[in-house]
Amino acid sequence: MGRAEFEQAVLESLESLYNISFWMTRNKVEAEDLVQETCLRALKFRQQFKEGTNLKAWLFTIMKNTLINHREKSAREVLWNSQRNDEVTADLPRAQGNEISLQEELALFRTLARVDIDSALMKLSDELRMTVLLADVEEFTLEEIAEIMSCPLGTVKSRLHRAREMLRSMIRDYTPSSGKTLEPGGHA
Amino acid sequence: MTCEEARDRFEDLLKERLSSDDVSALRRHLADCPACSAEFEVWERQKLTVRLRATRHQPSLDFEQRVRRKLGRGEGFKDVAAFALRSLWSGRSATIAITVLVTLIIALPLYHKYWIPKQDPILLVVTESVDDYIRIGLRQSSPTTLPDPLRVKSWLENRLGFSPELRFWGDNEYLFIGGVPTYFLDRKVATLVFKGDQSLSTLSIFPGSDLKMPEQGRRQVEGFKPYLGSFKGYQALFWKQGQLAYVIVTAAGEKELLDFFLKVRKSIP
Repeated sequence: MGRAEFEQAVLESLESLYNISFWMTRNKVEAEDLVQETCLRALKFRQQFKEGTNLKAWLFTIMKNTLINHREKSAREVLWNSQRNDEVTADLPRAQGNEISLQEELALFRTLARVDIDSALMKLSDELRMTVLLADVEEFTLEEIAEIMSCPLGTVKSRLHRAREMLRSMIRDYTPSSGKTLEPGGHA
Repeated sequence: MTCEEARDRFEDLLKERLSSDDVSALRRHLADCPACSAEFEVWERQKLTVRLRATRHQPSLDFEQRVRRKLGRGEGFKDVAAFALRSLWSGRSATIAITVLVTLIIALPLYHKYWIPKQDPILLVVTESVDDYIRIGLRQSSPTTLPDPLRVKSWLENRLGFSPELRFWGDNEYLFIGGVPTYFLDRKVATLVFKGDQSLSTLSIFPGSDLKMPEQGRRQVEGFKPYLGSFKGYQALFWKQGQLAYVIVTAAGEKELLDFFLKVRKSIP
């Protein structure tokens, strides 16, 4: 693949990269920086890309590694005594005494607003959120996600299962009668 | 097919990644097993809900252009470098090219040493502290709890090798929200972050006994004479006290900057 063709292919994935980048950094500037660095690295190491394989998955692998590098650097550099949202992992058992049927759950899914879905996703840990977004929003296969996340296929399956169970648990907990919200920390 | 095997294939079914035999077997199982059938329906709905209703964050309109420019810039440099290398090792001009290169390698350090005027260290303090302010400010989100100043001070002392002398650690107007070790003018710096009514301010403290206060650009503020500089639209107020130098950077107006300065300045023994 020639350089111009490669560059064009990278730019075609820009929106997807930015979307996930923003979900992971929650900050416009950091999201843009992360995507820019990912594109530059991709260009720099484009000889390592195997033609015929999924370029988009390869770009996401680079972005995930870049994000980890940023986080490690940031953790070394900054002391903020405030709790960072990305360290909060939702740990939500099913609501006691709030069991609902699958049909009710199905109906609930139809009524959920964007803000509820976003809020529930934000309560997942970084790894779980990224896995579920790659699978459901970007529609990568499990094998591709395993490659992106650099982990075994079984781990992806269990993360996806766990993420979905947690999302369902949060959504079950969010019945109008429960008076609870999906705001971070507001489930208790 | 067991229920577990069936549920393990839900993902592949939706992505049409199963063989026709597997699809038939799974469809048969779903037809015979109401529990798996209902589970599949909820599972499919959940997946669809996340796909369609989770916010899709869009980059700004000019973002693609900016990335395109950055990628293009890399190409320009690499092409020039490749051309230079090719020229160097081909044809009769190799000797001339090598001579020019060697001359440049020798001449450039000398040029930097003797011809380029040294930049005023106080201007460097201003530019580097503003750059730090921008870098730290962009990362900062609203804290949920405020840090313990003593803990931050001791944490910084351990990392910097000096004590950032200060008694003002924030009040109702300027909340102290964190501290971070930074580095400029070849020395370690304690940068403290305060959140004012409208904007963030940083206060950087570092060893500065070797720095001279500039004659020009100083402000008279209740008997004190700090140096006021600006860079990239941000104001920076620099002063020395004992062995240490201090610089405040803020996006706030001059009145708020001087108000903050007085609180800090008067607190230092």
